[in-house]
Amino acid sequence: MKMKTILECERKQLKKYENLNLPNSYKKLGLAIVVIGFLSLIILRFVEGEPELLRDLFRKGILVGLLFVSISRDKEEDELTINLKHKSYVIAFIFTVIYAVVQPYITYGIATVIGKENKESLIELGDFQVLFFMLIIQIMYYKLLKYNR
Amino acid sequence: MENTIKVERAILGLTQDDLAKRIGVSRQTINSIEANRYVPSTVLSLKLSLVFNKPVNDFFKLSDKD
Repeated sequence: MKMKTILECERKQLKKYENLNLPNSYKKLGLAIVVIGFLSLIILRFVEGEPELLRDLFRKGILVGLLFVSISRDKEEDELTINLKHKSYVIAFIFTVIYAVVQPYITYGIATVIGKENKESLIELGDFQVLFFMLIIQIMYYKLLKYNR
Repeated sequence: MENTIKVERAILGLTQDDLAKRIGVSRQTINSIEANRYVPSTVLSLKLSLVFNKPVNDFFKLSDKD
């Protein structure tokens, strides 16, 4: 295959993922999934034994719901809102990296001050915690940018 | 970048909403462009040029910061 053709193929593939978004109706669906996920997690707290598999499933559900909210189109979308959305993704990415690096040590510090035992376990950050933080920051920062546009 | 879109709009007697509808964006986008908070794309600038029937350079000017 010629070099030019390979580059053209690559460009086409990249273009496909450039505008990765869902219709506006997915926003409500995403919100519903998040609310149901949270309620289920609360109910699960009172279930004896607290099944780990179910808890993990609801957590994943919350993440999928937040992703739906994040990548679904607005009712009124134009180049400014798309631009603001891109900015919010950049901010969310940077904040998440800082959060993942700093947060465990803050928790550890607080645990030391209040004299909590088994502090080492607090240093580990789960994938749910990190992804949830990133999605929440993106959604909230986008709302803030849109409000101040 | 500075612009005189507000003036051009007033000459044609258009509201922000009218202009927004003509070029297919939201009223807030027009407001942001007029307040120099957002620099529109080339496509949007050319759409504005069509509405005002003037070249882009007539209502967009580079500022000292650019």
